[in-house]
Parts: sequence; C-alpha cells; structure tokens
Amino acid sequence: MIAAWTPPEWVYNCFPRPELETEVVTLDYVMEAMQAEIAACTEWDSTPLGRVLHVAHMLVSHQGADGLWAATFHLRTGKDVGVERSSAPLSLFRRLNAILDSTEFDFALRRGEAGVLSQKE
Amino acid sequence: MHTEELDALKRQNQEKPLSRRDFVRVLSVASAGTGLVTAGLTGLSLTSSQRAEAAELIVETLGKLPTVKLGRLPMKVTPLCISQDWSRDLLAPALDLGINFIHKAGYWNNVPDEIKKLPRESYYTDITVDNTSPGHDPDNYDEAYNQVKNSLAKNDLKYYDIYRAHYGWHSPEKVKPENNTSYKAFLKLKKEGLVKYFGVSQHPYDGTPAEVIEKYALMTQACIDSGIIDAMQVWYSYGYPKEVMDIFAKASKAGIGMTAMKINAHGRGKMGADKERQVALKAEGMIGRALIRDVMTEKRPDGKPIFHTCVSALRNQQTFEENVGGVSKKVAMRDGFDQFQYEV
Repeated sequence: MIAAWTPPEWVYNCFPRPELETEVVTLDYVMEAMQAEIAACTEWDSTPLGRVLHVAHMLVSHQGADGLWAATFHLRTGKDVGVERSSAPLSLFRRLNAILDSTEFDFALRRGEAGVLSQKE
Repeated sequence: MHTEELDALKRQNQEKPLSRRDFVRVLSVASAGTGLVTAGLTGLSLTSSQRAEAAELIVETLGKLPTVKLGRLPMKVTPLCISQDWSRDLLAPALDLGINFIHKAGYWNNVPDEIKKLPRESYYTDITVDNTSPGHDPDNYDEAYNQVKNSLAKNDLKYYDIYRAHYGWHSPEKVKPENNTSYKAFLKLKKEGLVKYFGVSQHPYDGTPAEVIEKYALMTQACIDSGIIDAMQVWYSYGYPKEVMDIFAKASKAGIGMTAMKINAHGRGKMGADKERQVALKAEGMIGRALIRDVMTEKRPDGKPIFHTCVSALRNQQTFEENVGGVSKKVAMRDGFDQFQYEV
C-alpha cells in the first residue's frame, strides 16, 4: 500500500505514496494508508503512529476555510487537483485523540464537522 | 553465551516466553557489548515484566542526563524533552533518567500516573496554544485564553511553564506586543499564575525552499526584535541549509531558549545515507543518535550551542535508547564523543 514516503522538501512532506513516482494522491488513499499504519502498531512499538501524527498535523495545516480538504491533491506542490471536497481525515483525528487521550484535534474536528453539515445543507 | 545459543533461544521464544534464567543470560549478553541493549533483544518477544527489567538496564546504561539552562530563562532542562504523544511505557524510564521537560502537555486530558505522582515543581511543561494555528483566528483572545484555562481544569497540571503560540505568526507586525493577541492572553494568564514564559512553536510556511528560508528569517528576526519571546521551538534537522542555522543562531545568541523539533522526520534519509557523518558523530548505524548529536552540537559563531534541548518522536525501547543516548554524558564518554557543551 505504501511504496515510498515523500521527501522533506515537498509541501506534503513525509506523506505516503502508492508508487515510487506518484505525485498526485487521493485523500482516501492517504487515510487508508494511515489507518493501516495505526493497525501495525503494537503495545510495545508504536513507531508507525509517529508517521501518522505527522500526516495528521500536516492535514490540520491544510484544512480549508470550509473545514474540509481537497479530495485529490498534488503532494509536491500542495495544489488541489479538481474541485471535490472531502471530510476523510475526521475519523483519523477522532481515532488519534482517543489513542493519545488528547484534545489536539478537537478544533479541526469541530471545523470539519461544521463543514460536513453545511455541505449537506 | 554464543550466537548459536542466542539464536536457539530466539527460536524457542517464538513458542513460549523466556524463562527467568534465560532472560537474565540474554540481558547480560545485551549489556556486555558497546552497542544498544535493545539491539541484543531484537527478535525476542518479551513479557511486560521483562520489558520493565530491560528498561531498568537501559536507564543504567544511559545514566542520568545533564541539564542545561534554557536561554535566559531560569529553567534548567534536559537536552531532550518528553513529548505528550510518546508511547506511555517510555515515560517511567524517561523520568528515571531525569528528563524534566514535557512538550505539548497542554493537550493531555489526563496526566499519566507516572507524572501525576511527581511534585509539580520537579518538571517543566509547555502548552501549544492554537489560535495562531492554520484555520484559526490569531486575534481570537478568548480562544487562546480559554484553551489554557480549560486544559488546566481538565488535567490539573496547575500551570504551564511555557505558553507557546502554535505555528507562530504570519507577519512581523503581528509579533509586536501591541498587536499580539497571544501575548495579551499570556499576560492575563501569567497574572493568574497559570503560565510563566512566552514562546512560540514556529513552523515554516509553504513555498519554494528559498521562500521558506526567507520567511523563517523574517519571522525569527521579528521574534527577536519584539523582545517578548522567551523560547522558540523550530523545525531543524541534519541537511537543512546553513542560512536556516544562521537564523536560529541569532535567536539563540539573543538569549531565547531554543528547542529543535522534526529532527528524525526530516533528517533521517540524509543522515542514513551519510556514513561518514555517522562515524564522525560516533554513532555509526544509529541514525537517531547521530541526528540528535548533530543538532545538539550545532554551534553559534561564538562557539556556544544553538539549541538547548530537542524533541524526538520516540515510540519503542530501541529508538528511546538510541535517541536518548545521543544526549547522555555517560554514553558520550563511552563512545569518545567530546563535542557537547553542557554549561551554556
């Protein structure tokens, strides 16, 4: 599922890539990869969680004014691809808050949930 | 114990836990070498109590960590911080080593028991305050003030030593005390005894590498000029351009307490490929240790270290031993690594 991680100088740095040459990904792919990383953690080794937290932090930075994210984006340039919006990171944020007994993603969750509501309206 | 015997034990361990006798023998082999204790335990599936015993041995191997003054602040901190999102089983050994600074403590709903039982004055904390984070309103005074108030009501830490504006401000004008909403909230919280010092967790901005450096320089200079910033936490790792190091050297020289972050996330690939640098840092094959040593021995033009402490994401015993060993005096002496300056 993860062939490589993006280099530090890319806008979406240390993000998963399904193929070595991939520069455009869907948020659904990134979320699936992150959930698999969490699943790979054990009681004594949560190394993959560090990678997931980094991706989650970057996604908080790229949350749009509407509380949502571009469904497809360019990893190197950070540019949105297409106009479709997505709330896919919200379930990841909830899971991370629960794992770490943390409030870190509370605000992003509130914004995202409001975004989902207004999208429905 | 011979390698064949150890291999046989590892095979046997696939079926059942190691007996007390075998575990003690494995531990004695693991601690006899000059490498990592955890390297000797690789491939073994240990019970909770065996892990705890291995942690005790790691603590003994690393020895108590030194402390350094955090810039001009009256805080003596260990050169490596605990992060709120570390694996919980690493907290006890970290505290045993004397690690006394906890980054992002403000995000805890509940403070872990290992920390709760300590006198509050025996360790330092920071809170990353989010009204300056992307998507927030940096002029939202109530959000800044309430985040600190509400978190303390939940986690009962009584106060935070450092209030850090998360991500930082986006223009030099916004850093100035008269325009700085975070600073106004800080002053009120300080008066109430809920925070002590004002700082920033400065993140770089999007752009080309040249633009990122230019903005980092501009904002760091604004932080220095403002005179209100006591502590800065910044992205820095092996392989970053010299221009970035020069900016942080200026902040450090100005007396700002400097913390490096993203050391592993951003430097791992480059350090992994640079065997020569690993050898120079007396950490061949131990990338985490090499990265920590590299960052913590970066010097200002006056020869003093730029960074006083650093944050590293540690999530298992092996990375813990490898990374923490990077700032251990005992390990440095054993490795013949003499580049640390503990008195800043």
